[in-house]
Amino acid sequence: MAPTLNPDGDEQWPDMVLVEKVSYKWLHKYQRGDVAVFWAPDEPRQQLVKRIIALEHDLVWDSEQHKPLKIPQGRCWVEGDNAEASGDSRNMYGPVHLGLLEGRVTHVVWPPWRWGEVARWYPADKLIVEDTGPGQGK
Amino acid sequence: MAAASAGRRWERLRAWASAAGSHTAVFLHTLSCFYVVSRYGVFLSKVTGPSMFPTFGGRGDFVIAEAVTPIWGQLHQGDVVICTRPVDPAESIIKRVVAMEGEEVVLYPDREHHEVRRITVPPGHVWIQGDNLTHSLDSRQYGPVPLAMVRGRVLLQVWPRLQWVDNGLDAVRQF
Repeated sequence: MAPTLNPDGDEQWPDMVLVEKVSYKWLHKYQRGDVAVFWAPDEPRQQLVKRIIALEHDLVWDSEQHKPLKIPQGRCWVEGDNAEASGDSRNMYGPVHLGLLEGRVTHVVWPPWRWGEVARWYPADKLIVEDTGPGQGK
Repeated sequence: MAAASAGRRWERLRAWASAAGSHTAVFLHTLSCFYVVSRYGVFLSKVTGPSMFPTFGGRGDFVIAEAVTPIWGQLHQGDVVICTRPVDPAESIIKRVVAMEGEEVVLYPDREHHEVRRITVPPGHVWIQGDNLTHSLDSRQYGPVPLAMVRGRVLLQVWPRLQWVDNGLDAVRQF
């Protein structure tokens, strides 16, 4: 997730972040651009942290199959900010179930020189089409 | 005289605030314990819908499930489990584990698929099906379910009858 988190790689002072679980576990409100902590689909006891790029019914470009991919209902598309070094929906997991999302990263709390908010940043060039809700035709 | 009664009012206010504070603390402690126990220990759940007939009638059955096995132990083929619903994470579903990771599932043609499909359950996933195959939306429609979405393994039914739940494949083999 460099440069947003651990910009200098995994070293002496890994980032410690604050994760809020109300949005995902109680409100079930997921937003594109959130940095989310979720359970790895192939390793049920490991958590990963990536950014939500697309939600259910959105279209993303699948670079492995070279065609658009519609995110199925109940899933999302996640990517790490460090595209070259990230195993995510593009190359490992495909669309990830929303039920795997555990919480939203809000702030970096340690080390002190890394204090700050983790912004919801929306890389608009990755989505082809955003689902705008019902009543928009097929 | 005014000073003394004001002092007594202040004392009563402080006593009230202290009592309110300790009641709030007890309330929050109870809520936290309830949350931890139901999330990581045991919880009660209501079964609705026909998808697990005849194991559950689905019209208000209550079961007790434990979260210890899915989190720290090992699920087995035949376990009845409660999971987060794959198509809607706000809901829960109750199904039976029919295949574990690495096993191959053979699916015969149905309404949406016109050929025999062979699917190997990927690592970290399970294949779940309702006991009432004709009235169940399950892995045959939405694919294997990640283990992290399994919230509990059903132990026993408490309503309308108190009985252990058969966590084995005998219930399905009869069909």
